[in-house]
Amino acid sequence: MKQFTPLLKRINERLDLPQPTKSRIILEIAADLDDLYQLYLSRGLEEKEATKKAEEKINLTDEALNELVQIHQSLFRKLLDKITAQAQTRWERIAFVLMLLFLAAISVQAIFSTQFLSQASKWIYPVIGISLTAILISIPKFYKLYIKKDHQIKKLRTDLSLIFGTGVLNLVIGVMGYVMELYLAGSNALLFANHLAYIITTQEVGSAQTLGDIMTWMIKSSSLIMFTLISTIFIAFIWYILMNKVSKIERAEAAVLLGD
Amino acid sequence: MDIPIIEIPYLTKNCNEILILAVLFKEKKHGYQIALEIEEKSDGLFKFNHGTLYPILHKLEKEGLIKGTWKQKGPKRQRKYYNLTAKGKKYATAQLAGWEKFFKEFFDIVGGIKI
Repeated sequence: MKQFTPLLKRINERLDLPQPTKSRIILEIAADLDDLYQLYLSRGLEEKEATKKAEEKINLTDEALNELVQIHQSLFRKLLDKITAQAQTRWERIAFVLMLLFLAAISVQAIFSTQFLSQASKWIYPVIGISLTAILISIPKFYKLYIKKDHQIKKLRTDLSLIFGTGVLNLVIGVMGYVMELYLAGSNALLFANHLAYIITTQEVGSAQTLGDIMTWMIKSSSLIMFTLISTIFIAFIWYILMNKVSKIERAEAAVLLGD
Repeated sequence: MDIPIIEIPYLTKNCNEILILAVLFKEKKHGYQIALEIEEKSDGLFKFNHGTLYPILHKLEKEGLIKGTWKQKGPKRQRKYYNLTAKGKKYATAQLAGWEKFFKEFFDIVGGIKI
């Protein structure tokens, strides 16, 4: 395969795409180059001639490369690849892991050390469910990438979109719950306002119940939105770390093919 | 089923697409196999440079007409195999009807030429 390194390098330089996408294209071309080379060898050609013929057969023109670039430049993918291409150094990754642990610690403390769940809106349960799902999906992925080191290209990105999707769903459900709570409270807004005005102007003890209702809604909603935001950031960090690992593996695969 | 019109300005594009879809109709193949099969079956009439092949394959994949999956071949080598999706099969069938119509009309006009 080393004989194709200069050609693959040239293709790599000419493809104006995020590296993960570029790596996948290079891997595909490299595999076909190898097959063509083997075919020409089996037809009795010398190694040098077989290499030349295989390269001629691939013949990726500027027009073809531009077409490939245009095909792969979807806005969403471009955005995702750009986001995950940022954290590269060991220190950056350590910083992210520390932030993740910090978030995990305060989330667990908030949930278990107070009456958080009983005080929060019932909308918190689907949010917890989705967060746990994201964690359950992530654990085997972490195990495969970091411990088992199962780096098969075809399986690298499996479940990553699902983790990203759970993060988005988590946020949507949480915000929707918050808005619903706001709506329910809002439907009594006039009552609240009248009572609040009454409390402020008369300062009667009997109105404490109404003030309590307002406070209960505030606690319910703020607990929900707080948990939603923390868990979404937590899922986003998990996804970010996994995507960085995957990008790094893909880059390494491409580097091997390119002889770097 | 609406029969698509094969437009003259996009003749090459449509021809390349239907050739690839036809080769993938029965079984999954990777890029090199697709090019080779088209070339061999046509006795070298349709020579597919891979430079032409990849943009078409990737475009068809983006459109959901074919699906690419990585498979292990041998101890180390990975291959990206393409197979036709249900949407792709439907599209290919419609395109074939379009080509049949195209050739019928073409030969209706040129078929009368006698040397």
